[in-house]
Amino acid sequence: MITKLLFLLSESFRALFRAKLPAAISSITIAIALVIFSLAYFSYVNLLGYSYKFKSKYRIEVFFHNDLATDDARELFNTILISDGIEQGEFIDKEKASELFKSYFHEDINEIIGENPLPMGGRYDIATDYRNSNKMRRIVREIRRLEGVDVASFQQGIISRVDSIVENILGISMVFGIAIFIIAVILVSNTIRLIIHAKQETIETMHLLGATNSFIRFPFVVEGIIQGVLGAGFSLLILYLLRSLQAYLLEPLVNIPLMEPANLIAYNFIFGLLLALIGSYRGISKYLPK
Amino acid sequence: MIKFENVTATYTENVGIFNLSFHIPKGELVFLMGPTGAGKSTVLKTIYRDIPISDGNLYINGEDVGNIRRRHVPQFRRKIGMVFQDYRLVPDRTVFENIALPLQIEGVPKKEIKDKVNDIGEKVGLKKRINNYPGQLSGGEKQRVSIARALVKNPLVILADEPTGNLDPNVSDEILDLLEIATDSGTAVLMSTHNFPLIQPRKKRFIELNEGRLVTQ
Repeated sequence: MITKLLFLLSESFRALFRAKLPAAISSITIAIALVIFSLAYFSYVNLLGYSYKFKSKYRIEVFFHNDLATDDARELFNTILISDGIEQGEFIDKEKASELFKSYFHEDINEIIGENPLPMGGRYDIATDYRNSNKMRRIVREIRRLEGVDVASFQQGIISRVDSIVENILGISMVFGIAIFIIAVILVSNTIRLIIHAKQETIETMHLLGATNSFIRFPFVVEGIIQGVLGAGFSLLILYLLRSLQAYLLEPLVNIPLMEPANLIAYNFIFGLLLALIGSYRGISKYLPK
Repeated sequence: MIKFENVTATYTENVGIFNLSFHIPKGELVFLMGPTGAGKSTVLKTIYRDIPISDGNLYINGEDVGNIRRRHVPQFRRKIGMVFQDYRLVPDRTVFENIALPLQIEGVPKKEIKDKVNDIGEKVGLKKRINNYPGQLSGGEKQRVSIARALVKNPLVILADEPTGNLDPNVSDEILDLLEIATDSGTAVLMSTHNFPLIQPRKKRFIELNEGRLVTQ
């Protein structure tokens, strides 16, 4: 068994060295697929990151009835604060409301009408899982039911639009990613199949000599693994060069902070291996008896 | 060693071998004769289970070939040595590696492979060519490699499908000598050919086929 395994392993490496060009073509095909896949993943992660950043500004504003006493208003504020979907909040008393008015309109409301008619209220940040138009609408409906609440609102129009844009883009990215993966698998397996086709007679001879399917398949699968690792290496090199080029050419002109997706290196190796394994398995299966 | 009992094996409805019965004992060289399309290759393919048997029984060393499960076919084929008209050598392996292949498939230890391959290489006259590639060999030498590859695993049976078809008469005679030597160790050899003048002087038994049916034996 060990003799056989050692023989098969040495066969795999020898086959790789004997057919350097086809092996290089296969590795480059995997590398190209991985670069496209990584760029799509990079865009996806950044888009998701920016959408999270934008959504973290989602907020509900609540105005209480003007006749509410400060203690009652504070109690109402706290009741809302512990509701589902509320992350944190800021209590707005009459004084704070007047300051806000001044910061928006550059006028002192007390001087204009001789008193402060602004109601007390609260500003609430939304928990991550509730940052979408539908869930926020539900929260607002609940708040409006509370006694003492005059107005509760959020920027529904903008949020609905942002939600739909983000959802569409993420959906398209997902479909795009799956499509790239399928195309890559087909491309890689066809490349490997072409390489295997050249060895068709050898495979037939091996069968006639009593080789089992797994004996024949093993070196091709090991070759596939090596090609997958090489492809991932090439892909990471290309990505590093692209990133350096982007830093050198674009960053001085447009400063958009980009997020580096975590585990990109691991994903490249995992997908590289996966592509090569599926590719070589599909490629060799055509030439093996069922 | 090889026993056909009313064997029928067909590709399509009317092409194949029909109701064939014969017996080849241990250590005998038998020629399979007949024109092109007579069914010679089908007989050989039926023995190594490339074509299923539709009727009758075929025994190799007492083992019913028809009852061998598909997944056990590779193990069964390891007991059979095969020699082909087109040699079927692996082009990117040396003579040594080609001869060693059946042993590597069986998982024989390296040292044993080396001894056996060198021994058989010397017997078939390939000692000086042992590190050459098939592309560097003549037709006769290639067929010697093919025979050495069949002999190296001490098979029960050697099936030779027109092994002299691409060779000139002198070299063909040498190949027949090698196949005859193989019978000394008890191996049964069944060789298909349509070259009657080549086998006539050997005074060996032959089986004649026509349109998949036995004519004489």
